[in-house]
Amino acid sequence: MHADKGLIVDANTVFGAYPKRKTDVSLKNLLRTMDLNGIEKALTVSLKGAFYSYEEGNEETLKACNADKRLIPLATVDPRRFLGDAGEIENLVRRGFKGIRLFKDFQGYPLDYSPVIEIVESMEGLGVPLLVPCNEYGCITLLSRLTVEKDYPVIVLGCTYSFLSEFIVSARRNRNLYVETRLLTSSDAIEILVEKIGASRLIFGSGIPLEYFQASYRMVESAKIREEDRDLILGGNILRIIREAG
Amino acid sequence: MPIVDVHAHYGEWFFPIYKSAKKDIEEMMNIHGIEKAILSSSKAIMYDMVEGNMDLSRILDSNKGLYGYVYVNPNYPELSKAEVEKYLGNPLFKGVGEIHPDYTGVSVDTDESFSVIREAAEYQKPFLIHTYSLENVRALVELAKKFPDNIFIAGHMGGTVWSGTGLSWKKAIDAAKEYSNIYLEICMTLFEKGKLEEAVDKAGADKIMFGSDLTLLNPAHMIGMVLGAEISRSDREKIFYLNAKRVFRL
Repeated sequence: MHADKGLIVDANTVFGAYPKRKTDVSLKNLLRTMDLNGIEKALTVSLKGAFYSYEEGNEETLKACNADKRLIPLATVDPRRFLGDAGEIENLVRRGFKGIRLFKDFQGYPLDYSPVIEIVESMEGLGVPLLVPCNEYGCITLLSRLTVEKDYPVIVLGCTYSFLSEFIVSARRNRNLYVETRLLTSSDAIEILVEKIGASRLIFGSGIPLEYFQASYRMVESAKIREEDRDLILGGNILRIIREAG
Repeated sequence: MPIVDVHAHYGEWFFPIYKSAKKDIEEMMNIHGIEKAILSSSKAIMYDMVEGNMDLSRILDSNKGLYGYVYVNPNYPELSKAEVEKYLGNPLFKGVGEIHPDYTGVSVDTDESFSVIREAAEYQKPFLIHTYSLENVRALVELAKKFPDNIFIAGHMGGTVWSGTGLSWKKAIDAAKEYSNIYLEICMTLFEKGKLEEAVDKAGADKIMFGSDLTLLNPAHMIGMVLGAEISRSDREKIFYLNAKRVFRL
């Protein structure tokens, strides 16, 4: 039996405030949702960094994670504000952040964008994962090209059935690529991914408390895959990535 | 708790989805506790209405809980009327749909659509209409006003726009609240937390039906949404099966 059997580690959670509609995304509600659903650990990031100031958001994330060890801090950088100063990304990792998450979906910049390319380059040698939402055709292709020679994991967030073939073809060429399961909603997406690229490349994420946990969890839970593969997807893979990051 | 799925499909997709045969549908229904499913043909929606409806008619089976929607395409009014005549009197066909303006390029509030729907309306069976934008919802409202004696189901409940505002599904909820002949069906890819609770609160659980978009989507996703929503058990029963049994006379 491996150490991570039965653990749920959620690689996609947020907290803070949400300006686009009325909803409770408070830290308290995140922790409550984790308790309700038996989530052992969660990678998290303050939405302040997505919508307002990434520097202030990162401080808020660290504070929340220091107060509750179930939370694993991700930093975010807003490429619209990032000037590519030497050592900025490295310093975030030194301070204890376990990965860098971009909010391209909320912030609207393209991937082929100098500040993004600078972030991708700056992460070389740091060992922590980069998490990037991709919800238009070509995004995964470009992300794969940018990172194929890098030495760190890249987790594609929000991949849907529309981008499934693009991810699988890209991931066969680029061993750094992983995919978050939250929007892999087509009837056999998880089984296909496990068969084509292996369970070690799938990372469970739910988007709580912005989204319904059970919606993403039940897709993994009911997938016709081996139990050891399910354990890898639900927690084993992301824990390995985080442990290797140091 | 049994489940009736009022938004399911039979046929292939132009995405990597390989669970699309009749046996796959039956297997998914068994795994997820879906007692009955009302299917429309993906081939009819995306390509050829006549061929798709015919394929679908061959797999329908009340003993297996497999029922159908007749698909109509307003670009072909005479053919559509013939399809309605051919199938809608058959008790295995429970409605018309999923009428899909994105694939036909014709909004449901145009004269072309009205003419086809008028023909089918006489059968007094529900219409499933694809709604995934503010424009789709607006057109549905016009359609429902034009045919006040028929039931129209807002497939995808207005949908989700990637902006995360919830604007389109909020408009669909408003429409279901205002018009007695508009119902909501819940399937979609992105589930912003709170949308089902808001639909129950504003439109009422009596106006909401479970749909999965099977085989395009995984029923586990939508079942998780209903089970994870902070609503009462009796509301869940209405959404999962009671409303569908009433509306479709199952």
